[in-house]
Amino acid sequence: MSPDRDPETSSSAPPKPESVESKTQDASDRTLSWYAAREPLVVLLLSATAAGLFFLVGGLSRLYQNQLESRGRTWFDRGVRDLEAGRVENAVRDFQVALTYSRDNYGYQLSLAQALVALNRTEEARTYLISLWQREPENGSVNLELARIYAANSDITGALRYYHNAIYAVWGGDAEKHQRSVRLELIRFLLDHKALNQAESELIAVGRELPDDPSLHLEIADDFMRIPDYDRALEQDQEVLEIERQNRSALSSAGRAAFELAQFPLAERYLAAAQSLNPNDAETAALLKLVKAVPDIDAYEISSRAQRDRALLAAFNTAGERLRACGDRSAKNGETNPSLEQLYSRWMDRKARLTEPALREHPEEVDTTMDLVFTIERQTSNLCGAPTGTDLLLLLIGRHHQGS
Amino acid sequence: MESVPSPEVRPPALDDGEAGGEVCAHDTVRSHSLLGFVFREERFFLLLSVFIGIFSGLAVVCFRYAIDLSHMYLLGSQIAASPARLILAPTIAGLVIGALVLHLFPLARGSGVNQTKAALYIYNGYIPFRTAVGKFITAALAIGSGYSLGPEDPSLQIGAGLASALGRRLHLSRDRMRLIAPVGAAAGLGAAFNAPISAVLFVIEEVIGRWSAAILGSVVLSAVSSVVVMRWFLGSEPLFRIPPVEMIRPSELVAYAALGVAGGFASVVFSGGIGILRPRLKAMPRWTQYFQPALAGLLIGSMGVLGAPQVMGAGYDFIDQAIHNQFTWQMLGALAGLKILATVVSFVSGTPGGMFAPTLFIGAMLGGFVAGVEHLLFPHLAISTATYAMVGMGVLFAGFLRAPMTSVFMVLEVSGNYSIILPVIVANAFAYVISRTLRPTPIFDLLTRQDGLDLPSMEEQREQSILRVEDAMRPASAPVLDADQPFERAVEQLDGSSAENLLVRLHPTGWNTISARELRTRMSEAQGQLLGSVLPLRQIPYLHPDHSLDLALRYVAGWPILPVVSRANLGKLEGTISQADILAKYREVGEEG
Repeated sequence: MSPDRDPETSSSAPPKPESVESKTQDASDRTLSWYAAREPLVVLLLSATAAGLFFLVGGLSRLYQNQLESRGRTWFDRGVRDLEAGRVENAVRDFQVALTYSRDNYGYQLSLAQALVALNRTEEARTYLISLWQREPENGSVNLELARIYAANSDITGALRYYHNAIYAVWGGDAEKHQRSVRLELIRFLLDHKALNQAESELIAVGRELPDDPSLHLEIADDFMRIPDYDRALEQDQEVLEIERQNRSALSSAGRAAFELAQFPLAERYLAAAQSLNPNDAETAALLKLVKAVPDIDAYEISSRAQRDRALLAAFNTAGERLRACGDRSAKNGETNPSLEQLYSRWMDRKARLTEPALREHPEEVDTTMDLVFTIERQTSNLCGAPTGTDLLLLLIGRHHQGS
Repeated sequence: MESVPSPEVRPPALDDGEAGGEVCAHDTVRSHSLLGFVFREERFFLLLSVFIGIFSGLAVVCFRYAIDLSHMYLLGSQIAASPARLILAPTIAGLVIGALVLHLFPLARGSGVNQTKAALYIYNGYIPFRTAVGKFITAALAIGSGYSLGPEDPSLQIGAGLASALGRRLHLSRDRMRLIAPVGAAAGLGAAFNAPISAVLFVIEEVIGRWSAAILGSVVLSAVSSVVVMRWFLGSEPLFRIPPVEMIRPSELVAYAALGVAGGFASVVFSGGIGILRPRLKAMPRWTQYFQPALAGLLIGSMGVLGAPQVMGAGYDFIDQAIHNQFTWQMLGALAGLKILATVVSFVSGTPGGMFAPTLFIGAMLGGFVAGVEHLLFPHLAISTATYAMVGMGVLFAGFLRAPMTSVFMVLEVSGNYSIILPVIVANAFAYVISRTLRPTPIFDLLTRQDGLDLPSMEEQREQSILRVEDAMRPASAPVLDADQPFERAVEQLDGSSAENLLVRLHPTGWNTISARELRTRMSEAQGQLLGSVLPLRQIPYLHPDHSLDLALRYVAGWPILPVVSRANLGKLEGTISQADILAKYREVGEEG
């Protein structure tokens, strides 16, 4: 061994090997009888010492844990305050510090993940949430947050998985309310992603279990309108009206649904009631005006023959205008549409011979002409978007008479 | 397993002609008594290992509390600590540590692994209790105040120190005292890591250096009991929360190999920094050693103030964050580099503390960084930062600490995911080979040599070629006699043979030997008898070709020649061996070396 040995390993305390050797050799000589006589006593003493130390460390551990919990709680509360005040960056830091004191605290981790989501740091949030999910796969909040992250990434499969988990998850407090709220969020997500059939199924499910809450029924009605499922939307509006007869939103919405279902008298009644409650509602007023025009436009509902023929000719001309406008639009986009051209030639052919006297002479032309009008409105609606005004009315009337 | 006598090597039976009945009976009583004692001590040692595990576990729990409390009071949370605090806490703590280490606990410096090895190989298992106490205090202060050091190696030394003190108190024999330090070391490391298998492997791989049945049971028992105690108080949560790790496609192994290469070079820089700076700082005047830890603390605190507080302390929380993808790849790269610097500075200043945690930190950051770069270059690869960070930890462990087995099992134990094993093995192999090629001396051996000690190199031991019986034995050219044959026939077989000693095959099994001179001398008295009836009643040991020469040497003395027989047929002679053959072989190898 070199003389300049380092104090780190050799400078002071360890005795010279020789002395240790002689000491332990002596000890070894003693051990045979020593162990034979004292082994149980030694084991007993060691056990007692271990138990005593266990209690001592247990006490220290409790003190230490309390200290950690207190510090963690302080930082967590600070994070909650920051979050409420909109200081999300600070809240993230606070929650991170809280977690350094209580690394496995579920609530702290969840709050941190939620704050990270709010900051759009979704990848970080996702890893936290996945870890939380592994600990408690049945936790509603975690599943919901994960669903939102997948939804934000337009991952429909992942989002559906976690939304459904969240719906059937364990929720604290009013579980039914949480579940309904998650289902509604899922419905919005499905509607936004044009998954209309799935959205409708979820709507039907949630619609069955709604409490007597007008705002909820209205929300559902609105979603049914987006499907579109006007029958169920109308049912939801009518539920509201049973609870609150003078609910303006419900009246307006019911009027709109009835209008879309071509139940014009019913629509007029609802819309008129809504209008009387809120005369400044321009949208309702416009719709009501349209509904009121139906008797003058729907040739099948007019008893006077002369008036019917005039209405028929007006509808025929309106459809022609719509067809021309739609054709021009297609031509402007460089598209050629044979079906539109075919319809236009049919319309032109009929226009040449369609007069009031001709109609009087050949009343069977009423049906074929109206068929052409409805076909034009339907086709142009498909190709050039939803119509407005009289065209919309003609489309709805056509659906009503021909079946949608 | 070479040191353990093989059951096939049977010592010769006592010759009736050599021992009187009275003496034999006395010997038997003594032998039974001795056996009973050995058995009792064996049993007691195993029981003691459990107690060592419990005491070490409790000590490590207190050590963890001490680190956390000193961190809490000195630094607060480094994420939110003020700049003044980040600078002052490690600097002032460094002054205190410097004074404590120089005056009260000189043996507490460094990591603790080498000191434990020194206890095993030099001091017969002696580790002063004061060292364990000193390590506890100074390391807790250092790590808590932000030095880039870890609690694992100090825990290992604390465990070893406790075990040594207990062994002394119980007056254990010298052999047991030598073994007791590694037993305590495994307990300390197991509790610190919350990973008993890795702890056992590390102690076997780095401290003891051999798989010995005599100690394996004790090491396992102590490690397991300490981990149980640790989990009792600190919970059974693993060290890191591992997000789901994807199954690896075989083609992605190439990408992991790149991580291994990066880890290999990082290990070389890391160990090179320590290797170059440590002796220079140690060579400086003694008074500077009061200030070296404080200066290191100042530098590390400055890093914290300048935007990298993550490099302060053991850094487990930040490893966790890296695994959870909470740093950009640029940040991960910067943290890996800064942590190397911070750890080198902390360690070479003589501040007590370990290198395990910083190694894991650097590995995790480097893994995340490589994942980020590879993702940029090859966006089609499904690269998971978490997996890379985990593999990175193993890579640095293999490259820097040169404990390849432990590195693999450590990652498996910490991740709890077997699917990660292939990338770990591939990446570790690259890192290990690069590190070995560029820095042939492993870090622990380097530190030992810098300290002027000559402890056995575990890496060299692992790779030493073993000389076997087949390397030294001679072909069986002399005639083999049969115990069943008539004596005259045996003498006839001597004709034409120059062999001085002949082997006699016994029936149904066993071997004996007789010299050619004795055979001829007894010719007249043994006429008409079978050879077996004339021979002394004894069996000589026999060896197999795959036995080590070290083992053969123990049995060959006292016999002019020993048979080397087939393992499949104990009556089939493969060759013969004598003491002279073995010594000639050793001489030949020595001259070649």
